[in-house]
Amino acid sequence: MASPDPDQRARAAVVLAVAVALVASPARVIWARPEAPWWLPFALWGGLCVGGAWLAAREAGRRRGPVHDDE
Amino acid sequence: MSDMPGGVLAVAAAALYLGLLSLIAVVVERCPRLRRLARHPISVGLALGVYATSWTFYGGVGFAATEGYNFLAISVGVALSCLAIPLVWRPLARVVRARQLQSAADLLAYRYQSRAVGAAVAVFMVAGLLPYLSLQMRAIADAARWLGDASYGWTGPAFAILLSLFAMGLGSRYAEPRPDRPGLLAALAVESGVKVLAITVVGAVTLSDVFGGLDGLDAWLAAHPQALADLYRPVVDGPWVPLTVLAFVAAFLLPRQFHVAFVERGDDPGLRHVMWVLPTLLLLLHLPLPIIYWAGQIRAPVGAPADVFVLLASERPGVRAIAFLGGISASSAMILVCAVALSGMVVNHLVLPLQPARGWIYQRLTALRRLVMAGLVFAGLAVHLLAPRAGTLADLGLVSFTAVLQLVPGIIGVLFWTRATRRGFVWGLCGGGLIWLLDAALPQLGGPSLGGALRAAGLDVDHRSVTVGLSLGLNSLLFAIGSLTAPPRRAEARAATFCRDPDAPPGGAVQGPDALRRRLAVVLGPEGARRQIDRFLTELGIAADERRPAELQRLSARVERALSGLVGPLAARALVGRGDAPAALAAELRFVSGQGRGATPPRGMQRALARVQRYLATVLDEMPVGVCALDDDGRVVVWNRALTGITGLDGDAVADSALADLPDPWGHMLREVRDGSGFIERSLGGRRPRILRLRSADLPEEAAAVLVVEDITARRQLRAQAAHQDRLASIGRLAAGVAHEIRNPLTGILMVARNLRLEPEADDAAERLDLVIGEAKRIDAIVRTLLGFSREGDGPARGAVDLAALVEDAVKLVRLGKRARALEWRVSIADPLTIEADRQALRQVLVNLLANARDAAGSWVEIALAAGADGAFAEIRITDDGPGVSPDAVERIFEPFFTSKPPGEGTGLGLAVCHRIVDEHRGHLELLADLPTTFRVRLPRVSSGPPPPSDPPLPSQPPPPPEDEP
Repeated sequence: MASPDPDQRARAAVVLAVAVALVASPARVIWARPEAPWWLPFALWGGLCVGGAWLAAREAGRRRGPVHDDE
Repeated sequence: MSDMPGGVLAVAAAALYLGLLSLIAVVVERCPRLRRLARHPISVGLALGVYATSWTFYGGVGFAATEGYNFLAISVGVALSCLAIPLVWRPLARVVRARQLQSAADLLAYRYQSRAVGAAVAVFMVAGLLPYLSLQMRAIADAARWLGDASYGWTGPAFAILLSLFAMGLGSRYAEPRPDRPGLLAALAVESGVKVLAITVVGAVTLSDVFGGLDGLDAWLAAHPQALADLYRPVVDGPWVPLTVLAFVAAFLLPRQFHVAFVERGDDPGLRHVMWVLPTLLLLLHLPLPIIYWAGQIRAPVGAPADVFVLLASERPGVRAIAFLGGISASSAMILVCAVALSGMVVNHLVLPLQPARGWIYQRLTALRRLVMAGLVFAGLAVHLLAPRAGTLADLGLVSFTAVLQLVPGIIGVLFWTRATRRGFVWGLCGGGLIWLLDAALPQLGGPSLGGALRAAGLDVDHRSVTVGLSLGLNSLLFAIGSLTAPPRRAEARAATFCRDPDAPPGGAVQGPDALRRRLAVVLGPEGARRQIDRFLTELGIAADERRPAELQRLSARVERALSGLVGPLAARALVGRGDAPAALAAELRFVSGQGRGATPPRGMQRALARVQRYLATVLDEMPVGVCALDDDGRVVVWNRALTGITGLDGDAVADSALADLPDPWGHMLREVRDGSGFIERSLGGRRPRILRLRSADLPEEAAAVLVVEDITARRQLRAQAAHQDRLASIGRLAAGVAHEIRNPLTGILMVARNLRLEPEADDAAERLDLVIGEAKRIDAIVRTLLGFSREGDGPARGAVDLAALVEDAVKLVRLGKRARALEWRVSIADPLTIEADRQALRQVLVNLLANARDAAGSWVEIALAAGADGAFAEIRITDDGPGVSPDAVERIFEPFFTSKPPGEGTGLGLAVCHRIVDEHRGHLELLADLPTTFRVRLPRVSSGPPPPSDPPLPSQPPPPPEDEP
């Protein structure tokens, strides 16, 4: 699928890969332990929100950049 | 609980709340400032919070009770999906927006170019979502039961009636999404806020009342380590991954999510903020749930299911009322949007295709959609009332999520895999759907499940993992096999390409207002069609007699957009008559030519490109020859103005037509030249007879062929006139010889006649009369020869010609006259040769060449006729012993109006006409030697029609004769 912003897609792919590795791979045994604080999953979830906000901010920054005549 | 709101109060509170939401939607649309606020990108993220239904609000705690922290996966998957917005959501949104689609069924029907696919998806989605609707009913009914048990029996039906009215009223208002009506988004955003506020209040109060704050909670957990361990352990051992996968997909493919994310507001800024707003909203909704769960274990009445802990964790009536309101909010919003989205699918893909294309449908579409919405709500209620109450709210929800999962292979075909086909999709959906039915849906109705069977066989497997893995695996396998075993149909392949590049201009043939009225009248009735078209013309500022393609494109697009929301994309395109998008090349070409007059002028490079395209389109249109270009389907994409002039067929009328559909003789002729040798000439009769020359050329890309049609009637007439003039000039030159030739027999006749008058009874009178007759016949033959030569030709009348006789005839004609008789004529005819030719034209050639030889010869002229060396040609050589041709004249000897004779003795047309005539017979006329002067005429013994005019002249040959320059 052609996209007007391959950089943003690449960034999203990296963030998504990290997030999947953290919360949806067997590596979740690292944090899913009985002795972990009850709020830890929510903190990780908050990290996903931050990742999304960072992606949105990067995209917003690109859109506020110089506008070329051929855009 | 006597002081708690009972069933009546619960339904009354729900009615008030739903009325409030409706009021918000209406007020927002009427207030410009609120409208802007509702269209803010963050509002879209909040509106997508409709994902969290009473399953999350009430059932989340119940899910936690059975699956621990796995209940988070059903929203963590959404957060992951939001990170994939640039990769998955946005490409989908671009397709949906560009094609004005309204649902996943529309999208898949468009991608696989199949109404059957749309119908299958609609059926599957309705079947898959009914458990979800029933879940909402059950959640509210259970809530009412635990808050006011006396009214439990009728709370569910009352709530269903209320929601039906709400959906029919507010939902049908948004059956056709419009950017200027963001009321639904506003209502959903407010609803999300209410949910978050309600659960936060319940969580905070519970934390305070039950645990005395966070420190108290920590102390309680320290004292009860098993409570936390029970939540964490299933994350590693349980169905965390399949639940995450389900949620990842459901985040954008659940009908309500699809509707809000892509249909209501699918533009880039809106989706950008969804990346963080929706995960944050869901995080806030889930954060209090573990606290409520633990508090419920302490405070809830014995026997109360964990699904109602949100209501019962606090004993404060106000908090319980807020919790109930939050549940109402979550359920009603889900049912509203789900009913809107599913009703569109049902009407477009299940109802309309079954109806005859007559007028009542469109007028009653809104009523039809309302009916379907109500039907869906009551179907959900029926499932709730009739199905056994097995499992938790989460179990019901997951049935629907697993159903939605079955669309994933189809979506991969939309986004990534152009080879995917309708057959693969249908096979996959059937296979995955079967697993879903057997292992997810039927077990909820009390039937056995595959996971249960596996467990009974001693395998320790999670049934959700089995369902997800098996259904998606089988679906994907069949999808791949079905797609790979047969190539995609042409329409599918094109749609796949458009899905990958959705920003390509929407094509299709454009229709004028009158044509659109006629087409719409089929379903709207004449009056309805007239009103609709007039409304759109006014809205767009387009005149009723508009003919500019760019303006008509806007009108067609507007009509199609309006219809698309009502009858689906395929039906809308068909109704508007824009045909299949891939057949849009013609419209795009014409659109380019009128782009400068479009509503949205291009900028920068686009503008420069458009200018160049417009210039080229104008050149094509203004060419003096007719040009018709065909796409690789053999459909007309270019039909220029000259071709309209030649054929009388309007370019707009024939655009996108197959050649076979064109009226004869045009369709037949164009097919003949395209499929045949690539060159034909045809004469047309009628009041104005014409001669047309047609040529074709294949194009490697974009179009299958380009056909050029020339009207060469005037050129042929001019050529015939030139040839006739040349013959007349030759006759003038022959006149003296003819007169001399006639005078001798006349003298003889005269003398014999006088003698017979004096001696009428002479014995040899009969012999003398025979002599008179013989001389008269000789005169007759001379006159006949001359008349035959002077007669104007009427076209290429071809037939078998005996070349030997023709040569003798020409020699006889040229030998008339004193000078000619003084020459020695050496005629050598080696073989009797017959060719197919125009006798009259060839005789003119020979007479011209022989006359030139006679005029130049000193003592002899030699004519030799023989078969060529290769046997394929007949050769005639004419040689004279004259002074030869000067070097200057050699270069120009075939040029029109060039002559080496003294002024008044030659027109300069003779050799030029001869060259053209021989050329037309696919032969060659050349000056073989300049001393002695020898001309050679080579004629094919089997003629196969005129030569391709594109053949360049041989280097030694002069330029073509004058008929190309009338």
